Amino acid sequence: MVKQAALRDDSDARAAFEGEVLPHADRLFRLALWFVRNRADAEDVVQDTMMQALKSFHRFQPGTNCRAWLTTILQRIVSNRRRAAGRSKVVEDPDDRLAQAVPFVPPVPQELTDELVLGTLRKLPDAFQEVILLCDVEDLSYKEAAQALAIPIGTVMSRLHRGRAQLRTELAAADAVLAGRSTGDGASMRDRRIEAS
Amino acid sequence: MNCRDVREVADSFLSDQLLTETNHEILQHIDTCPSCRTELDARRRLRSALRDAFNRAPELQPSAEFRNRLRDGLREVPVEGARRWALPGRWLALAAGVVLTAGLASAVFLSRGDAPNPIAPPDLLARDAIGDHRNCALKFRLVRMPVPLEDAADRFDSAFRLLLSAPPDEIQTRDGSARVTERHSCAYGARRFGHVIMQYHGRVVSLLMTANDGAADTIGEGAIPHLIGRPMNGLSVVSVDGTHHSVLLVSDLESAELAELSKVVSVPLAQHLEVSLAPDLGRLATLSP
Repeated sequence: MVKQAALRDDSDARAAFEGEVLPHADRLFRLALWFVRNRADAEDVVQDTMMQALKSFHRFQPGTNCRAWLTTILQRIVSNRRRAAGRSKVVEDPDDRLAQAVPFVPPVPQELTDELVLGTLRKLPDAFQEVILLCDVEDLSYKEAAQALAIPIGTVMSRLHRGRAQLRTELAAADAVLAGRSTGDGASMRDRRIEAS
Repeated sequence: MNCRDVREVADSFLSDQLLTETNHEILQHIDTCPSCRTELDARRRLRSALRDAFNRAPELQPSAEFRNRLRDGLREVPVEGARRWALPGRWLALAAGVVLTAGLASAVFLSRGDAPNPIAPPDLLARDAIGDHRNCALKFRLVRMPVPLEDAADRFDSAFRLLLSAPPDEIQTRDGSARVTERHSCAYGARRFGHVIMQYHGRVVSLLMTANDGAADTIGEGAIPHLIGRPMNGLSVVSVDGTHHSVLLVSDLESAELAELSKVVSVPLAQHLEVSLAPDLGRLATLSP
């Protein structure tokens, strides 16, 4: 009797997990692949994230933001992998290098192709890419992004401000280059593409 | 608030991270400042382009083989803590059942997560719509964050997809023009809404689409939504009810203004939802204490 109850509970939890968590798998994969830049590694990261989420599912509060909860797990796994690989992000934190925000923000180009936008995003420092992806693409609040990245909320806001400004500066520059190539082959972003294995 | 102030917080405004009062100051400013309005539109366009590019980039999509492998692999793993998880859910279901049996409508708030919308007569629809308008459009203090309409259409209600393009960003009525400032899906209690926020005559207006499970048809013509619980002075609701969905407008505008706007935005939307919807189904009700 007790065993049957336990099985039923497991089945309920699994159904809830599959309904609540699995729909986020594709999003998690895109984030993972963007950060680790390798499909095999991204698959490992997503698998580890899902396993961790499954084991911790009883701690997930229904009604809270599942996407933010999963993103926090994923970010910690990515961060641990970076540390294990000796790629600490501290040295590439742009907050020190870019002491002041870019003062002039150029207009957004009229034509925003996917290639232009993603290629330009890739040019930004990793720390800027992270906050832009979490806040502007994944719709996490500043607070949720701060929790996911384990940084103060003020740092999230500061990086967003600088990152968005730099994104526009880079976009304008890339757009000007493309506009100057009246007979160009549009290959300027190709070298930035993610490795497809 | 001047142009420099607006541009300083424009991205936070687009992310709905500001206080209601600040939101209103920005909206008032951009009403009279074409330059800042253009700048806000540019930032919104860039954000939208970024999101679309990222989500549809072919090179960022997982393979079908990986999806299957992931799903199968997870099924092999026992769910640790499952019994601890199941207990509160069952307790809530039991509690909700008991309370519903007793006929207390407030039981809808005990439902877990995004359960299917409970059957609700128009007064409950109006109450939930007012609650969502206040919490989301005015005060931004939601328990669950809003989600993009595309996601909500996939996960909750495919009808929300209509709100991606309807009503249009600029709306002309006989008395003026309305402008859409936000589109998303959000929830109030157990009810899931497709939510379009507009500015009309300097006021914030919420257009809310939600499933009514047919209950609205059972209510006679002229029924007036009334508030269960504390009164909400000065808020008006105009509802256009179809067989499966209701489209509600909520605002502190004068009732006649809201009714005029309803003819232009709610009725065409409801007609999309079902061909048989009569164009004059708009029911006006001003909530008063």
